[in-house]
Amino acid sequence: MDYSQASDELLISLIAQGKTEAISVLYDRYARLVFSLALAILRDRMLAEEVTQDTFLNAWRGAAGFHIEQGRVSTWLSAIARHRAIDELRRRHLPALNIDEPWWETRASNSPLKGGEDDLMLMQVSNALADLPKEQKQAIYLAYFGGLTQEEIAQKLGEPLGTVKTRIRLGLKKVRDAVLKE
Amino acid sequence: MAKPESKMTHEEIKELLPGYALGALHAEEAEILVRHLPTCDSCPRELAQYRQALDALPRLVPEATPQAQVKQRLMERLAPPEKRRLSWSRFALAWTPLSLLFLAGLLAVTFGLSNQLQATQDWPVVAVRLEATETAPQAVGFVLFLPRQEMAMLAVRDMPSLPSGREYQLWLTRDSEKESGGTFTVDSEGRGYLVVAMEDFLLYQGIGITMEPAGGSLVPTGDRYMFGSI
Repeated sequence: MDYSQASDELLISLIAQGKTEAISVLYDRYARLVFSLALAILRDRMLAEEVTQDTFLNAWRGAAGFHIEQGRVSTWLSAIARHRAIDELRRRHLPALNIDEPWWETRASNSPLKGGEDDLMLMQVSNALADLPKEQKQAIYLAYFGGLTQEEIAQKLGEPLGTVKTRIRLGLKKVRDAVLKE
Repeated sequence: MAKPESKMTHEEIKELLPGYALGALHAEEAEILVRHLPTCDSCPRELAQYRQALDALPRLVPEATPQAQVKQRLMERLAPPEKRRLSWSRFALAWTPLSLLFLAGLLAVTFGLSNQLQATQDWPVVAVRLEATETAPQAVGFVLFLPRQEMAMLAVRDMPSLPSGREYQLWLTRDSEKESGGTFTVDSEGRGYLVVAMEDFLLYQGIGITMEPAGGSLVPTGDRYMFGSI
């Protein structure tokens, strides 16, 4: 049975039925996305690989509970991976994210997924994020990739809490506007 | 400090949405939204837009590829759900020394047992990690099933603090029914635990924790805070 052309949603329902070939295809499709995210958070290949494995195991076990209304399958996988990676970051007391990583300057060049309308929008939103004023991007990235709360970010940067909250709010509003424009 | 919810304007509540989408809010602030969202027409839509915006973040990291062995190990660990057999040794090996210490401490405190506790073949332990959700983004928890002792133990930390008159309730999914495992509260650090008498944990497929009125509900009514699969 060749599932390589199956949609993400079809793959999930096949996985819920216990079809290992379907999880294999899902892995091939999204392992790099999941691993790259885990690596950006943990900065340790071995741990990132563990998180990758756990993410797909979770997908395997939880497929029956996934509903289309929850959004994209890729978003679901990224969310599982992010939670798991941040959890690991905290439990192992790994070094916190730097306040400025070199890759924060990059804009989305190639989407890891094949081209399509969805991915064009994703790329435009990615660029809106990458183009944010430095302080806003920093606050959002520390929250997302570092798993820090607003209070923790304020402490880390030596800034007032209100300032951090405003930066996050304004930054995300700008990106949201880019989403709405589509 | 956050204003009490009753004194917040809708505009002020809306300003919490971006932080909430990021999971960066303080527990009390997150709870304000958890309570507000079901009652509002515009906020859930706005929240979905912020989440869509954040969806793009994973696309911005440097692209990296995991080794081939990761997939190999994953496929080895899969077994069709119907034919799934449990191997005690696999779960016993999954414990890190720190987890064993925590388990030992918890049981010792609860039951006055010796601290010299080890997961041996005489005392099989099946552990299920609980997953955090957006309502409890920092929460960590697990459930231990001790089949020989016909009991299960839930332990959580960093759960949002409970408003007065509310408790967390543990649910066990059996086919499509949800059975209550009981209710529990958490301390100021968001820590809580619950002990459940259980004859056969293999009857259940899933675990969930919701917030309910004190004393519990007959069926889940509140938001889901944590979940896991058996």
